[in-house]
Amino acid sequence: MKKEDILAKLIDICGINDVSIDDADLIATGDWIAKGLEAFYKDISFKAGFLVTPKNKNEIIQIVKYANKNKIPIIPRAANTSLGGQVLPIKENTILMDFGVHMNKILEINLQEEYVVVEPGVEFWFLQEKLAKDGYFFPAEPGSAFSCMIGGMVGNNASGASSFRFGTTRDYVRGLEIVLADGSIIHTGHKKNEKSVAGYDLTSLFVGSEGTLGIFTEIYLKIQSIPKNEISVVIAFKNLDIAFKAIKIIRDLNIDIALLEYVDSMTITGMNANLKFRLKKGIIEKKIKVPKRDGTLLIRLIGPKYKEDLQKLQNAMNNSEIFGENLPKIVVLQEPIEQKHLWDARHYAGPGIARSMDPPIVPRIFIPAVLDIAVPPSKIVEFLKQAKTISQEFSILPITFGHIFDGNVHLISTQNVTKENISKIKAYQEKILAVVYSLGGTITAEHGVGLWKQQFLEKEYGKATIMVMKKIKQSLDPNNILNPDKMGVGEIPTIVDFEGLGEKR
Amino acid sequence: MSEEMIKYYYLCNVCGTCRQQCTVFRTNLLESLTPRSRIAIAGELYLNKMGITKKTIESIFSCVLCGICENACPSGAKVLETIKATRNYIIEQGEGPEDISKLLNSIMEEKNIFLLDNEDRMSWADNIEDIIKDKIKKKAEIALFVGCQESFKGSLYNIPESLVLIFNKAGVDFTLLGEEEWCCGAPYFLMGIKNEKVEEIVRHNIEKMKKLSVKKIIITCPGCYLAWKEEYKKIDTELPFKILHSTEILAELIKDGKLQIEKEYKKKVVFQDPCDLARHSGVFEAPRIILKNVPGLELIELEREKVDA
Repeated sequence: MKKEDILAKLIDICGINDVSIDDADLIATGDWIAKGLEAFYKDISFKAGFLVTPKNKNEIIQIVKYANKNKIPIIPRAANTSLGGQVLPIKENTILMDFGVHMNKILEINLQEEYVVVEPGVEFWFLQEKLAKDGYFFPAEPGSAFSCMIGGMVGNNASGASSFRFGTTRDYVRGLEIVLADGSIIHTGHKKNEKSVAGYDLTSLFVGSEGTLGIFTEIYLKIQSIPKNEISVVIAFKNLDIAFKAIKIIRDLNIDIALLEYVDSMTITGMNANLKFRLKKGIIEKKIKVPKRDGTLLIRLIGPKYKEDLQKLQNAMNNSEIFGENLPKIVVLQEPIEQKHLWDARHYAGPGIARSMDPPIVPRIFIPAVLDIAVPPSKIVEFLKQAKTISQEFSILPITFGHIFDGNVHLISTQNVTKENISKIKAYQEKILAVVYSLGGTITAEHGVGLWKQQFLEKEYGKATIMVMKKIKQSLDPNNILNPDKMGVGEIPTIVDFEGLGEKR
Repeated sequence: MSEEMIKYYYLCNVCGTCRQQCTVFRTNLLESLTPRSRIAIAGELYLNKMGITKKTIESIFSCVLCGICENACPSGAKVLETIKATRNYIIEQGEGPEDISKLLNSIMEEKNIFLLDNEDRMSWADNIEDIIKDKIKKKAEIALFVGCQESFKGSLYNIPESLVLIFNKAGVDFTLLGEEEWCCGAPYFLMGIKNEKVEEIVRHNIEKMKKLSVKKIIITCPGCYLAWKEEYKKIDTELPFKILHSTEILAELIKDGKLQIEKEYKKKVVFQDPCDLARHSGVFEAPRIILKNVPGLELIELEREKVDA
């Protein structure tokens, strides 16, 4: 298919202002790992053929029908904040379909039935601001809350630090309007009904399908009233062991916890770097500093009994009969703005670490496979200890933080991949993953499969399960046009020989 | 091609926090106009992975350099430095926007941004000629640097005019460079251009001020103020002047009791902090001191104010 013919057709459908073949629109600007992954895939430029910004579902239907007939790849894209290479174009003439420009409207807010209907390009923070005026919110908050869009959240089943309390995006999607690969349109679920077991749960199938099965044009989300009151507490123990002893106690306290995060001392360095920057700039007025200790827990308590809960928590943590001389440093943050800055700093701990180094650590190619693992919560200490030992063995500086109650650990290595150390890094990755699997864990708890993690799926599920996934994909998208060769259901692109990797960069 | 173009390419973690903040992006929601895209475009240009395109120019030159993205950026990317370096590169390649070239040429040829005769630089003072005529190029500790916008744009004449009237009332002696005042050079700094010709402009203004034994330079335009305060000292590290924004000296006069506002204004007002004055220069309080000293005036703070404006 000639590029100019595709361009002419797209312009015919969307108009000249909503189609671009300009490099500035086509480069992979929005995926953190794109810059790293580029080096792993031979002959893939990660550059789309076309950017289209459709104005409505009719334009989407026309584009999809045309693309399906001519086997042209389409990648639906929201805010470009995915972390697995989900929206990286890997095929020639890929049409990047961006919803942020036009399809960004909240179509309906129904407080009585507690739902909203939105287009995929609605930004999460924008929806939250609108809902907050009526005392409501959409609770599935990911780390990218400042920038992500609902379409991307649903496409990736986004979740975050508070998922153990509030669930993931999937738990809030009541239904979807979807354009399928043949251009037909379907509706799943019921926007007004919380409960329904009528037929297969197609909504759940499409949520988290990473754009491989259909394109969302309307999303029906369940909303909730905002929990009243919140207070944040930093509990800093000397080391990991004591912190996890404390977690067991906290779990049995029967208090309403919205967030419980473990952060290591490197993460705290990153948090404090950002807090210091904000203080210096005058963005925050009062100094907030997280004690730099290896067994630090960040907790947010919510609900009407939050004061009582705080007291229970403080009493339990200050119990010298249990902790002996290892009582923690406790910092309580009451002001909403202070709490916001604390949690912002936690969200941005990774970049904060980079900025705190002099010169800043700039990992040009990092280790994508160990970024977002999860193990059963009871195995989390074991994982962290083994990961630390392996990291030491490989002289790699690990940064770990995680959502303790759901076992999700983010392990970031600041190692820059070079020609000299690439084999070592490959071995490191394999060793860490072996630990993850031996503990019954998963390669990705939040970030998704996308491009890179496809290679590990079969190991995690086995051939038969992957075959079912492939059959689903084939039946819904027989021409493989929707985000092709991602999610482990297409042809997995060949990864460059690790030995040759350093040369490309 | 400057290394500044690639400096933050790898550091940017593409989180998109800047999307929420960028005022230019929010007007049209095109990804290529986000700060993170500008960083990416600069890096890709540097790495020769793409060429200069229409949208590249639009992306790089549409930024207003307000700097709010840098406040939000968790990686600490210096977006403004990157953009200025990239502008410089694009201009050097002869691909810069035509209007920008015209403006830059005007500064070199006419010493102002409007392609007007610099001899007319005192047009703004026609209504106060009696007060001003003896001030021009006379030695004084305080000098007023008027800037191109207020010197030539009729709708802005009242700004320096009012300041002169206030100075007159408060008994502040001052001088001006008159037609010997040249453009401060800010448009060149905004384009990341620092060369001998730009230095010549800067040195001209500095030397003329030195000749008048000036100790304090008062500037009303936040753009000129930032240029004098930040860029001039890079060229002349021993700048012998204190650079003050007009609000700073007015606040000082009020504090010292040399200026009293008597007339009552029963109005509610908001103050929108200019980026160059507030976020880039850290002047927040002076304008508020003045407003709070106006009898009857009620100052209401905007939701986003000062460094966050």
